[in-house]
Amino acid sequence: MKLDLELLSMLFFQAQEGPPVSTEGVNPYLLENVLKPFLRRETLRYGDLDYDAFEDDDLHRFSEYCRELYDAGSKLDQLSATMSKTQPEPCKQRMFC
Amino acid sequence: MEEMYPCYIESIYLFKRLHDRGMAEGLMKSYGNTEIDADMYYELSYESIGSVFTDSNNFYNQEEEIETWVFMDPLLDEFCVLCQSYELEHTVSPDENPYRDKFENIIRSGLSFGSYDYDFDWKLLPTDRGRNRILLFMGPEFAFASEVPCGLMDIYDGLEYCVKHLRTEILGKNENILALPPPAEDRKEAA
Repeated sequence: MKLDLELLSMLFFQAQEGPPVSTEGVNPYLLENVLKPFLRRETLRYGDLDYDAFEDDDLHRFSEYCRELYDAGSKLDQLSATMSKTQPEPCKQRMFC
Repeated sequence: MEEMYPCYIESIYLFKRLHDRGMAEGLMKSYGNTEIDADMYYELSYESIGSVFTDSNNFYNQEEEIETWVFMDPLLDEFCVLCQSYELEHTVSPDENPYRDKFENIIRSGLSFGSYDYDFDWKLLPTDRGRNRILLFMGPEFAFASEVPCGLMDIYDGLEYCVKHLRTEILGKNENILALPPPAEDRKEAA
């Protein structure tokens, strides 16, 4: 498989800065106190949570967000794996930038 | 990136719903120091079946392989007393009592699971022997125990709703009406 690095770099430049998945409507307490420790593989106990800081409906949106984030992460992993498997090919002629 | 399995969030959801109803204390004592884990969900769900109604008991029949849950609660007793008062006042039979009908539908809805290996019943009539109760029978192939606590919470919410309306109708108590403070002049005199 050949990679068009020029196109890839152009797409990277065109990509908008910001989180890969919108956090709109996601309870900030859940992002900070459930998702972050989970991603950092920190120990989180049932007794550590403040159950008044979120509504039960918030967990539905939070669940959706986590799935979307995981999907985005999987796509990135896929791209990374493809990149790492691609063998570099030397230029046929010496080039100067 | 590690996937956050749905059961991880479901276990938090279960704690949250119990917490909002003031029913999480017992479970928190046992599991407060336990690490949140998707694998804990089924154990937590099973343990919380007994947390919803004040007096819950379960029995296992080894020969039949059937687990019987009995749910009793002072609120359930109050509902039955109020229903009898309603029936006397309106000279209707228990079958014609709309509150009984409504609550029975709430029980049916709360204990509706996608399995053939379970059954439920209720003993809420004055002619029924023993304490007022809701019964749940789970066979060996019943795989929906994790959904039972939320079903029971829905039933409890429905019970509160029916009791609130019955109190208003029978006793004339409206819990939303707050007693007003005495007029300013009276308060001055009292001072």
